[in-house]
Amino acid sequence: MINIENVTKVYQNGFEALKNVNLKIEKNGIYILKGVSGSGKSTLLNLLAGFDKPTTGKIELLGEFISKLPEHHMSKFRLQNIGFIFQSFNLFSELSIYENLQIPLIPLNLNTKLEKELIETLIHKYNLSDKQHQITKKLSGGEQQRVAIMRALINNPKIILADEPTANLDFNNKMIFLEMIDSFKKDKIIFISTHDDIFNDIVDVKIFNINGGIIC
Amino acid sequence: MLNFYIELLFFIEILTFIISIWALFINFKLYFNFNFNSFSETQFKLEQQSYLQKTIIYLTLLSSLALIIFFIFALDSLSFKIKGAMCASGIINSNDFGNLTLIAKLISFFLLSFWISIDYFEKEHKYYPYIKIKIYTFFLLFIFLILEKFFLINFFLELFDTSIVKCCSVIYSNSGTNLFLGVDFKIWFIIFIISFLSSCLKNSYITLVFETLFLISSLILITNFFSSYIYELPTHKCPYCMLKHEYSYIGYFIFLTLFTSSIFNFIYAILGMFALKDEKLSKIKRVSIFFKILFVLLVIYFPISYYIKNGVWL
Ligand SMILES: Nc1ncnc2c1ncn2[C@@H]1O[C@H](COP(=O)(O)OP(=O)(O)OP(=O)(O)O)[C@@H](O)[C@H]1O
Ligand SMILES: [Mg+2]
Repeated sequence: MINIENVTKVYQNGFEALKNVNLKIEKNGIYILKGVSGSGKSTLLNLLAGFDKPTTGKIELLGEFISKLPEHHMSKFRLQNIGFIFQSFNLFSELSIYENLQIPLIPLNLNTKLEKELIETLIHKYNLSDKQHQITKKLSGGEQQRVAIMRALINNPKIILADEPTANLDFNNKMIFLEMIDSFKKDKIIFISTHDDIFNDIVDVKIFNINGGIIC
Repeated sequence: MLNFYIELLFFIEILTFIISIWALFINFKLYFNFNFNSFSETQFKLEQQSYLQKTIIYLTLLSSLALIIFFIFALDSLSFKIKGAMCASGIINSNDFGNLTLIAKLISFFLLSFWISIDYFEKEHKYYPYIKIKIYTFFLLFIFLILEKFFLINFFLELFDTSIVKCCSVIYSNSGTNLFLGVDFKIWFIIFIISFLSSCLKNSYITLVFETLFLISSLILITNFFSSYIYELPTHKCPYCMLKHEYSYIGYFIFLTLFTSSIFNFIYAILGMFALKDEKLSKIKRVSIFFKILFVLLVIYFPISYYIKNGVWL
């Protein structure tokens, strides 16, 4: 459950990137935040992930007022409940696929066997088993994207936030991405910011438009 | 009269005081405006600023610890310049403000440690449940910070008019009496032992009483009993000379272990009264007991080794 009430965000330089945003998501599914460049999509996603705090207003995720959480509680909450897919993937480029997936699991303190099982199942599902020990720098854009998705999924979060996840992908890889998110829309909230029209055709998708920091 | 150490002391004192004024400013804002249930801009800013205040308070804690040690050290460095003084004790006792400064410094150090301990407990929680206690503790602390500076300035003003002071052998010679604070020396010894043994008791109020007794009896016994064994001279009774190079600065270890242990035990007692009973609280108790044992081992080492070497007590 996501509930945003009267959220504004004014950056240090005085620029008002979000103006009194209200938004409510109660069911699992795919939600799209559409808007042109500079309309405030990344700003809103960063607030939802707790990377940044709003200037005023409430942000409630899964019953927790995250805009109020002290930072160390926020990181804990994020690790347990949120998977974030960055626009530029933000993978550790010198680490292998396997190692990139190990990182979000560190705080969970799983035993080695369980961890291996978890990671390998996921890698297998996303068809990267043969490359699991290759460093991510040497993967193609689409492959890196899949690693970024796996990393967001590995600790089974309730909410997935994706900031322009298809911006660097060709048509084929976009379609693969759509299939992937479609497969877990039943038990997760997937919130995607984009200016890509490709999402318009997914069934049951709910689209929010953002323009100049205002949701309309 | 001034020397480099005294000038440095003043410089750091002033610097610390200035940043603590900043923390006071934030404290006032927190006092008047903090309202966790609000989602306003002011409230978000205050939540950020409470972190800034925390950083300043950590800094103040560190520098006030350094300043207590440095205060004594600087006074000791003056003892070469004033007739009659052989160590810091002559200087510090040369007027009433010396001991007042030291006591105020110790109390503000205690309050700082207390503030930080509450903060440490608060981290467990998401909703700043102890913010009120922290705000009041800081106001109290600031009063002591001011007192401390006031005493310090007066102490030095009077000291500069003093040309001759008494040495520790005159100050602490107990001129035939065996009474300290009206109580016989032997009784203080028994109090010391009993309050040491009772430091593993868990009740807050008992802890508070016994820890106070332990601290007082320790200070009396260090001055009038243990110190003679450190100096190996029955007539030399002084809690300051042991801080000197001649005695390998052993006094710093003795006082640091004593005060650390006491501070932690006091904090344990007070937090216990707020019904804060969890894993972290027993950790505080364990740290206190650890330092207390270290302290006792340190001080009893001197009489025992003296006895083993010489076969007699002093
Ligand atoms: N740290 C910042 N300081 C000041 N202004 C900022 C900051 N970050 C973003 N902005 C401004 O806020 C507005 C919204 O930025 P945001 O990154 O949210 O847009 P976006 O919708 O994600 O755009 P894009 O599609 O290009 O990624 C922009 O006008 C941007 O210049
Ligand atoms: Mg963006």
